[in-house]
Amino acid sequence: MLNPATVERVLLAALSHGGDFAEVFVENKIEQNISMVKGEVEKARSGQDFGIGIRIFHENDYLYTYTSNEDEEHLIEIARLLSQAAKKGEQKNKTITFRKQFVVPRHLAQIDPRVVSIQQKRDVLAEVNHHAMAYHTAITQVRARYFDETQKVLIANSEGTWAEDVRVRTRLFVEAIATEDNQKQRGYIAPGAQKGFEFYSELDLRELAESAADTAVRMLEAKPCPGGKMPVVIDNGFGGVIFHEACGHGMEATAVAKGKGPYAGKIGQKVVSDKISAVDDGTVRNEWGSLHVDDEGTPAKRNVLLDRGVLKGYLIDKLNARRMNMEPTGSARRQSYRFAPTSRMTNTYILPGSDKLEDMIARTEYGLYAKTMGGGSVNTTTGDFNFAVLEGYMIENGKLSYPVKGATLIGNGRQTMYDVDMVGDNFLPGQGMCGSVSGSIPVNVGQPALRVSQLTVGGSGQ
Amino acid sequence: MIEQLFELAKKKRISELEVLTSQSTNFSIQAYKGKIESYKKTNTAGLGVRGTYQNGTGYAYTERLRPREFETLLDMVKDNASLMKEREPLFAEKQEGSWHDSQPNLPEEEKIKLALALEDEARAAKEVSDVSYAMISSGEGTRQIANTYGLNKTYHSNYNMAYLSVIVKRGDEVETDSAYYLGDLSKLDRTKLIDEAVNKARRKLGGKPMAVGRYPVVLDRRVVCSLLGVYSDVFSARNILQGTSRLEGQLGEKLFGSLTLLDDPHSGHERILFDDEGMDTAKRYLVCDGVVESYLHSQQTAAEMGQEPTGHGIRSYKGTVQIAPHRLQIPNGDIDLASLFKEMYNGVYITDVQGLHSGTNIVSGDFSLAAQGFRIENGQMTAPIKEITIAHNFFDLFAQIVKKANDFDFSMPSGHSQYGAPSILFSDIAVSS
Repeated sequence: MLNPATVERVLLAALSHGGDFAEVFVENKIEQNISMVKGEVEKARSGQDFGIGIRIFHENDYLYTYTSNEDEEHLIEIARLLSQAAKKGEQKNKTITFRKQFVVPRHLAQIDPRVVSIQQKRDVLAEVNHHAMAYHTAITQVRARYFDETQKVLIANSEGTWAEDVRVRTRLFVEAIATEDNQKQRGYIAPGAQKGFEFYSELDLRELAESAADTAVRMLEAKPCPGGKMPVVIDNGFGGVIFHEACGHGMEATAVAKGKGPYAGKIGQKVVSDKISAVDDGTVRNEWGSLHVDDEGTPAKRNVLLDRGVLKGYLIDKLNARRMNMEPTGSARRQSYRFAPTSRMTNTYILPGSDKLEDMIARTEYGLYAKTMGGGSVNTTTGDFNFAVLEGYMIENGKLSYPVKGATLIGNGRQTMYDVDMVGDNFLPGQGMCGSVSGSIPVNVGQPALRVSQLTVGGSGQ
Repeated sequence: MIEQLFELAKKKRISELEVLTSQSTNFSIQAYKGKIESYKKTNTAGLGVRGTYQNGTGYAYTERLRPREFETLLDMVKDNASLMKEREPLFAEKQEGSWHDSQPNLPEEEKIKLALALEDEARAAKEVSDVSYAMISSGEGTRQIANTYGLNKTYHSNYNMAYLSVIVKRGDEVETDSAYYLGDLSKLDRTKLIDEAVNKARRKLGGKPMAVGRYPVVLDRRVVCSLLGVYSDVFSARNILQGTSRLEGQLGEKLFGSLTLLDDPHSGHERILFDDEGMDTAKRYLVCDGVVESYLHSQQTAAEMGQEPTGHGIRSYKGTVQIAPHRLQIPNGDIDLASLFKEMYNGVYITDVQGLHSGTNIVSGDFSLAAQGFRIENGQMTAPIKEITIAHNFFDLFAQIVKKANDFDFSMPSGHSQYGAPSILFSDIAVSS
């Protein structure tokens, strides 16, 4: 990491010819990846990411540069060049006094993954492989991947912010493939946390492996999903990806500051079903999407987005705070030093209601029960989304009747969230990576089971 | 630096070592409402190594290119190698060379003017309510691959690109689309680029779902390229070996009707002269007139299957060797798109699909994707359609090509691979809404 004297000189160089705010972001990250296929380690790799990003604001625009070369002369030179590209102006700052940002540590790792032997990490994979293979004779292949990273960041700016954070993240990916005749189906699970190796003593590896295997085996019997408009019950956990994609992105300042998306200018108005309250909470202890400080040095917060259907707030970074004349919300994030930060989600949750999952199914005459969701995408301008259903079942006469494959849910986020008529009490989070303008970042999604009264289901069945 | 690493590896009893370095600089700007909203200048450098220790192969990388990091780097290689039962064979040929491709570049001020003009003119176009991206980017990079068998190859190139994404609005309805240009920016035809993005977005306005059913379909070349991008994985020898490709044991079998599919690494936006293991690339047919002719191999999969390597080992300095095509393409057809619609007479023309990373199953070949497009009625393109999904199976669909249009083009490059195809008429596809 760089020392305060160097950082001060770089920031002053960044404001030497123009610009009214400058920021330095230094990142040093060590990561380890091990993948196993059929019980054998397929690849093992580790490495170090290192770089420095320098950002300047002039009024509502920004300039960004980054480099992996940490020599002070080089940093001052690229900062000065960047400043020259900004509007001409007088140097206002002569010195910067840094104030150290203090945040109560909530997400510390108990066991530093860097002191755990690589053999122990391999053994985690061997164990899930064993349990998934042993679950059923139809399981023909298991792929598993171990991942840990330790990301150290320093954020300092011309306003005197000096913030440091260490983010230790751990994740396990398990994919099971079941084969029957000419057919292959997959089951998948990928839990993660902002924790060290202690994550594995808290996790039931057998249950995890068996749940991936179970999805794959069940889907072997699945029939192609019938298409059409119908009620859909979306279960908890990763099902929250729909809210993340269809609504969450529309509440990011990236969209709102330009007046884009369905939620711009709608604070205080009812924008979704009054059954829905939602938060984006970067402070949840040790969660995959949590932060001590965001990538601009602002402490993470619990931001209320929706209260009983009414829009309460947005996710705002410093630059968009200027554009919107609002306060930053601790939501500025970036994949790495290679990206300028912008407003992003952390742990985005629909809060639990009081309905029971059994009742949602019982009260549906004909529809789809989406037990496990796959990935999806959304057009943030139009709000149109689509999601794959990894494990799904048809509901007939209020009962689960048969498993279906190849189902996708498509619709418009705004409309879908109006059409939620039941909200369950079984909240569960799920982990994912979110890709957007400032790169791919770890986020949690989460929800209780929801029933959408009408949604388009895509599928090739009759 | 590379010699230093080779020396140190020897001391650490790493029996063979491969070094991949990459250095690049990039410049990109985005204009918004008459101003340069984003201005980026970047320098990246990284070094990745792959080495054999006690008969296992380990990988490691660093972005801190200082000799004092090399010790840690090679210790990581040993640590990682210790988990492996087998070594990955390196390309053990003494081959050296340095290649340089360059295209004309513009001064920074010219690029800024260009971005501003592009945004301004796009904003003035009919029904455009906002410009999401009016971007000019350019960059140059050097890639070097060397190993302890005397391999040492370097490739240097640069690129220039313009990208435009617009939002059009009619009443309450909005649509978006984009267009890109790669090449000499002084030859950029702004009007053409703007027309392309705006027209593609405008013609989608007023779209409605359509009745569930099976329809004859023309997939636009962009959609064909997207599907190739996902399903090219089934040709990867890695997937064949792992039993996750239906093409296992199918070499020489006629699975794909009249399809011809080839990889021509010297076509597309930038030549790929050698893969990331250092092997020279060449034009290769994967499917010829429906018959599966070849898989895609790295050094390792070729050795495992006892076949010839094909030069498709791809990696970044951070990653491990993956298998991917370079410039995968379906050759051009011979009638224009309008004639293809006449040939189909009634059906659908699909221009956009979404959800490629979630709505596709590589193993089974099944896909179900949100889509947009147009009705084709009596041979004419009529009403726009949206909020539908199209579903089929990759293997079945590409076995029933009826006819190809003559509008071949490459898709926008993203990552290593680039895909090229014409628009294609297929006998049918399932539509639901």
